[in-house]
Amino acid sequence: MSNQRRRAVARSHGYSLFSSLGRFARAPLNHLLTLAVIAVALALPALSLALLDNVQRLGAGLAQTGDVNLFLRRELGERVALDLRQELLKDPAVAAIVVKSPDDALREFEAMADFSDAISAIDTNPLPYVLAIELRARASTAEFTAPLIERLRALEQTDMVQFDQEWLARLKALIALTERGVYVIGVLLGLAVLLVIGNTIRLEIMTRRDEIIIMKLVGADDGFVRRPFVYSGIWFGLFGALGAALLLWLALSLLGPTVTQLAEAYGSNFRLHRPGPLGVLLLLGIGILLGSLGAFLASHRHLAEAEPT
Amino acid sequence: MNAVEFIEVQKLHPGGSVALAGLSFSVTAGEMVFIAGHSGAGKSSLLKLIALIERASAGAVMVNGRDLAKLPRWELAQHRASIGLVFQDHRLLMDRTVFDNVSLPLIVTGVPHHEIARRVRAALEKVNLSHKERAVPMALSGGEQQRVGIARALVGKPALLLADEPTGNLDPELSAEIMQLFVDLHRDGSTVMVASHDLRLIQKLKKRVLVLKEGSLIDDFRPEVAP
Repeated sequence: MSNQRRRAVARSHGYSLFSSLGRFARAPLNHLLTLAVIAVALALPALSLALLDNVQRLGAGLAQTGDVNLFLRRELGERVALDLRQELLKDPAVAAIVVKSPDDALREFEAMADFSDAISAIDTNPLPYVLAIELRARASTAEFTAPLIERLRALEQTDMVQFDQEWLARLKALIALTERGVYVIGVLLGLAVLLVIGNTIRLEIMTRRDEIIIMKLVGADDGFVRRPFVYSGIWFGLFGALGAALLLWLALSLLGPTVTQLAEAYGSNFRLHRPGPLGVLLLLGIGILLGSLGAFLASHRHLAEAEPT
Repeated sequence: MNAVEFIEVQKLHPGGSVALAGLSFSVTAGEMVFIAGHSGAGKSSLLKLIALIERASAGAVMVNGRDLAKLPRWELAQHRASIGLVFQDHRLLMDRTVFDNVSLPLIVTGVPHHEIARRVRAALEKVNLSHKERAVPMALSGGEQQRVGIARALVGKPALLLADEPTGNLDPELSAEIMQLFVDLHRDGSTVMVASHDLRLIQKLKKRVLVLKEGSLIDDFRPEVAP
């Protein structure tokens, strides 16, 4: 491509970009309903994914708080607890062990608002030494954990073994299923955005049919005629995605305090996590991609019908 | 060199009726030709074939030595951009200014902005509409609208200018004024082909006339040498 031709194409892109933006700016209310539909359609899967991400974080947090809690018999002291820790660390399924003394455990209980009154009424500390055992990632399946749990239960020092892995595994499976469901709904809503933008561009082509024909008569090629419509689609996608980001922010802001309250009631400091700049950029990118694709397909199909006669 | 050449060109309408029946003629570069004939004689079809708005059913339409039947689709826009087209119904963008309308052929071909402003003003000056640059076509008279159409056709400096009944809706005085504009453009070196049913007006201009009847060429003469 010659420099002159390249400059001509760049000028044509500039013209299309600004003329489509100008058309948008001249009648923003005309496009408001379409933008609202796009924003909601993009916000729904984005919100679902954001919530799912939070559930995954919560699940990961729970898994990290100690996969197995081994409660020792009350009469056993620190020396036994530390010796047992050294022995259990040799097990290939074990990643780490934290020894919690009765005093540590009592402090944890005291920190929980609901238990503080009950604990203040107790004269002596009734809690035993606890070994919080973190399992290796590959060992978190029943195949690896079952022998370890059996071994822990058989130990003479053991009073009780608390193993939360089963419900965590169920939670993980549920999250995986929900995640897949969200992706399916996301694809369907993405398709809806594609159709909404495609239909909007089709109507715009019909409204501007005479103008398109005149452009073709004075020498506009297919690319030049199509470009403003594709840019319109990009604006629809971008502004729709910005609307979706705003809706997402509003929804998470509304849910945030309630989730915090709920978490605090369970003694957790969990906070609702909002998508960062990368997440917002991804949402805008998806909006732009869907907008340009919908506009391209619609213009490709309908511009061919607007030929001079 | 021939700017336009028709070789046994036939054009059938979709219903099967004949628009052009084996038409042959040539127009040399820089020549001015009027195409005369009653309504339905095939004048518009002839111009549409040159501008590739329609394609010939048979025969060859040659423009600057190129057979238009062999022109690939991607060269269609370039071909149209090389031709100035004027229509009876003006075909202007009614919601845009005169300046915007006239600049359209330059915008679509990617001419730089400063060059666009200069050439649009020169074209408007040529058709005496410099003072209407910011007006919208709706605010102009029929004659002025047609002059905007002519300015748009000539702004791209086309080697070939085609006009289809450019005076169709105008009174005799305005018609003569518009026709004189085409004669002036021809003097500047353009090949000009004007279709008109007004034979009396054409004859006054003493240029070559092709007369069509029912799609056939029935006469080809110059008024000053005609019997």
